[in-house]
Amino acid sequence: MSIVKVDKINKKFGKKQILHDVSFEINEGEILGFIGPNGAGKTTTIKLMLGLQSIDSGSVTINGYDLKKDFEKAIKGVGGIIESPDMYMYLSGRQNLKLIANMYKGITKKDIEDLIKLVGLEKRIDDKVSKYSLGMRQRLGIAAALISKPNVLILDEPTNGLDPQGILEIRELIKKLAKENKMAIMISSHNLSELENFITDACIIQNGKIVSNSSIKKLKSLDVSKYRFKLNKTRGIKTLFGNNNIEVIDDETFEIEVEKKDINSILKKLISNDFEIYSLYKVSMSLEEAFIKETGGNVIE
Amino acid sequence: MNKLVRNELYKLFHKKSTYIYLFIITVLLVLISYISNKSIQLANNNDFDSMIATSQSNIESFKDNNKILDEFKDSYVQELANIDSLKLAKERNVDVLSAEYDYIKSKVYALYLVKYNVIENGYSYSDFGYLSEEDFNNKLNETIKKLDNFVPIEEVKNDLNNLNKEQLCKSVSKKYCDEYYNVYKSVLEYRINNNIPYTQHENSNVLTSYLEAYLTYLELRDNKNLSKEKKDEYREVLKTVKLTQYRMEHNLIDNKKNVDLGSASFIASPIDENTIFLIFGIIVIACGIFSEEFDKGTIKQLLIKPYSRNKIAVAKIITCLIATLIFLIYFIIVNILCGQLLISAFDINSTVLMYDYNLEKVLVYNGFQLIGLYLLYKLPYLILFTLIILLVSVITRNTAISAVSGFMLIILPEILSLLIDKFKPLAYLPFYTWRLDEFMFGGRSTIKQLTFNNSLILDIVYIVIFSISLIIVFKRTDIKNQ
Repeated sequence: MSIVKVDKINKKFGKKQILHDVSFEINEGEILGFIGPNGAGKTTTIKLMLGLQSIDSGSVTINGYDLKKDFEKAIKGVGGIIESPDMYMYLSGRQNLKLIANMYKGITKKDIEDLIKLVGLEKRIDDKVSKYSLGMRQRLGIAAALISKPNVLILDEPTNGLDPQGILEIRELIKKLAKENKMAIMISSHNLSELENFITDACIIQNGKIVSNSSIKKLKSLDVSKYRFKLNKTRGIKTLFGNNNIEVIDDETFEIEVEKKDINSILKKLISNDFEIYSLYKVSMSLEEAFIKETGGNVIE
Repeated sequence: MNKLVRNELYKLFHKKSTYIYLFIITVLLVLISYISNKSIQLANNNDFDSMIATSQSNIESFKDNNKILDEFKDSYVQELANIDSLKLAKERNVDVLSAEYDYIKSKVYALYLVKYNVIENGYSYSDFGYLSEEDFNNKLNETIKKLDNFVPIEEVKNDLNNLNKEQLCKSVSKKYCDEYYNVYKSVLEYRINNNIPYTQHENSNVLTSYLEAYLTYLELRDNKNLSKEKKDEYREVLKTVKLTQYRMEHNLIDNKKNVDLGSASFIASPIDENTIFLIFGIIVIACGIFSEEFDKGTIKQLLIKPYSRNKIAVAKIITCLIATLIFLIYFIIVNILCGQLLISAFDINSTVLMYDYNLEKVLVYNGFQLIGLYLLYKLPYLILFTLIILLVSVITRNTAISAVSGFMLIILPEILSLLIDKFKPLAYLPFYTWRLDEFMFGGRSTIKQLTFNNSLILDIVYIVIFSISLIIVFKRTDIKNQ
């Protein structure tokens, strides 16, 4: 079921069109990776979704409520971290959480304590935020985002500044929230290799336009795939197939990007040219590769 | 809305800058009280040596090559008389404001006039005989001896006994003669009954001023065709007459009997427009409440909560006003404590007499009532000042610019006031219309175009405009990418 629906939103700053008809949906239980090069419009999109910037045209619907017409109802079920987890530095972590809890009904002291435990800040929660490391502030930001028990979570670089253990914990937490709490989660990040371990869907934005929006499985296995061959030798391979789409890895290994239907002819060609074939397998594209493939590199217009 | 306001107040009163500001202002208030008290003490102490030294140095300025210049002869003689009178007063420990001192000074001065043959009103004092040094000293000693039997109030009794209606009525028109005579007599009787001789103290001066004012009052009272200047003069003399009459009727001329015209203004000084303590506070609050949130990025967290921007803006405005009020009350309490502890003549419970120009009546307040009234008249100023800085804060999203704008609101009115005569619409700017306290008790604005009614109406209009503008700007502000 679609919890968040972004429908053809447009945004202009001065004469420059920042977003062009951006549309996507987030369903309950989904973890959508919102990916794009620097300056693509990721943060702007998130800000429009949360009412931090005005929408020139288009609409955002959250939990069935239009953001423009029913802001308070729409935003009620949303928790988020935008750009960085900005807290009141002169207050302690606990005081910051209490301030946020005060703005909602039914948040008990126990809820706050459970959250503090969840993000692992029990020992430092009463220290002033100005004394926190970036990773600790990130944890506090996540706790702040979860305090209202939202069903939509929008996170901008949530693992920024975290150590590997911290990243693992956040990743597991996000997966758990999506699965058990049926939250609709959107994560924007540059850490693509990290993202691909737990997102279910990926939405790629470039120059303010959505260039790809599909499940992660589909994104990584496109029509044209890479195949790796292990042979007795690779000398002469480039001459045999031309330099097209061939990458020689070492003396015994090469990779070639071809469609599935062309594998048979390649095998025949290798055998007829006295190459011995030891193994052949399909190489999955990493998310990074899929991203670069879709965006053609980092070009900001 | 309650929750939002509570959160804002929580943030404000957990900031170090709030307490640093309160501490600095408290120290300043204590210092001011201490210095005020010292100045009053010094003024009340008879510092004979310094007064003698002043007269001695003045004497030198009247000489040229050790010769007394004719045009300064009278001034020279006055200073000589001052010196001798002060020396005598010092020897006998006589208060320089007392009737005894007046007596000494007048007698010594008269002797010097004769000695130096000073011309006064066409009469040369040499007509009365030139005084040799020996004669001068003998007459001075006679004066000193008479001082032992000097009873100040006797002079008043003599005046009452010798009161001559005809002589008195030379200074008034015939139709007012009886009235003025009765008033004059009643004042003399009051002096005798309350033992108030002719001194330089306030209780004597107020009665002297009353009689002078009554003359002008009679002259102007029944005249229907007064010029503007005369009308203004009449307002002031009527005030003097009514206030003094009230004090006499209620036996409040003697300052020891619970009449204090000074305490209320001292307590209320933090509210006074010319005091910038509270302005600093408003700037501290107002800058933090909007622009600092933009600067630090914490505004994002606030704006993604289930509250419309309208509610958030209104909550911040309300917080600012509540905080200003809290600071104000704190300063009033500090002032009262400083007054009680550091200023000997201060008494918060003393009665305060205020004259209302519109009602032409004396009104009686205690210190707290007067402060409350003062606050009410100052409210538009506090609200408007706060709203303007908040509006700048939201538009610029910059703490430094917001702070500077606060200081500009203090300086700009002074600069623009020079142009008001040329550009009359300037008079209707908020920093002139917000001075409603000028109209307290029938007072008038320093700017002639402004009346209480048009100032109040304009203030209400400005409050509405600035509030709505602030909310609209805040609502439409896009949170830019960092």
